[in-house]
Amino acid sequence: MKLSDEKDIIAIIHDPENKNKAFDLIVKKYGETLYFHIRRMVIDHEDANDLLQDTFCKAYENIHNFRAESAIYTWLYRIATNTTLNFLNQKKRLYIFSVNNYSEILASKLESDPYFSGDDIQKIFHKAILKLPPKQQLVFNMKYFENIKYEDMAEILSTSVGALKASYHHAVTKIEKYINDF
Amino acid sequence: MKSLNDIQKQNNFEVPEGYFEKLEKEVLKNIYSEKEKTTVFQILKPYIYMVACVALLVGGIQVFMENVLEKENIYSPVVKEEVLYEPDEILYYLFDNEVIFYEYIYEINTGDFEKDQINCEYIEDYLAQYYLEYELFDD
Repeated sequence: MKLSDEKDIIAIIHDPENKNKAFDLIVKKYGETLYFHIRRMVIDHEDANDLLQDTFCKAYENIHNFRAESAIYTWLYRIATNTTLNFLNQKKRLYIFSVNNYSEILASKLESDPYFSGDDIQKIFHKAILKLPPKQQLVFNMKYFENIKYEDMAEILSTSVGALKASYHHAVTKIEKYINDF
Repeated sequence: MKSLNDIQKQNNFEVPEGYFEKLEKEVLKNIYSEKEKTTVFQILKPYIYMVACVALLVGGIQVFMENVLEKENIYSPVVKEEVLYEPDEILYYLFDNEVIFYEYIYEINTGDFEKDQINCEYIEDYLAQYYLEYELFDD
């Protein structure tokens, strides 16, 4: 049986004999998407990899709690998002008394990152995104880069569609202002 | 005036060669090493819980005895003072993450803290923008 469809994965996820096979498919199907979702927030590849590993560990430990009321990908996105936000909050606490706060550290990582291939305009664009508060960054990235529907975003972030639309609109305004002021 | 439409939408983040090909193996390796760690913890869990319960019981008895013995506390109640908070103090205690408070202050004052500039309008605007759960509109 070819197990590529989300429904097929959900069907065997609670079967102890097939749990690892199902999880293997989950990593294959969603690994790359979740990686870039995290990477856009933390910039550094090593940090993104660590957080992705954490995300999948948590998903594996809690797979018995997964209910088919939500899609697997919104469930995974939720775990990845919360793991990333916790990481960023911890980092910000460490840098609170330093001259540069953690947002500026992330912007400087962008400059020196060997795995960032964008030109100067793209760097300015990503720095503008990093200026946004973390939750607003998430909304912008999920809408602009990942094309996630507002309804799915609402489930991932536990926020109303209206608030998400307002937040995205504000984010676009701020980014455009930053780019034009640069 | 540049807009978002003038910027090419592309993924600028690259990965080391073969990263995604090895990802599955790495994830499963991590999961199984985590499982081994939790097995040891699970063996010790009942003993840890027993020690914690005993400690709680002893501590609880101690606190109870102290309250019973110090009778003068019953006859000298503490009068709570009414504390009036300014909007910036309300904002500070509203967020359990003080970093967000300082981010907000920096953003509206570009680094200079000015108490007079923080009023309810700023607080509402900030909450509407950054705390998506907080909806200010009465429907």
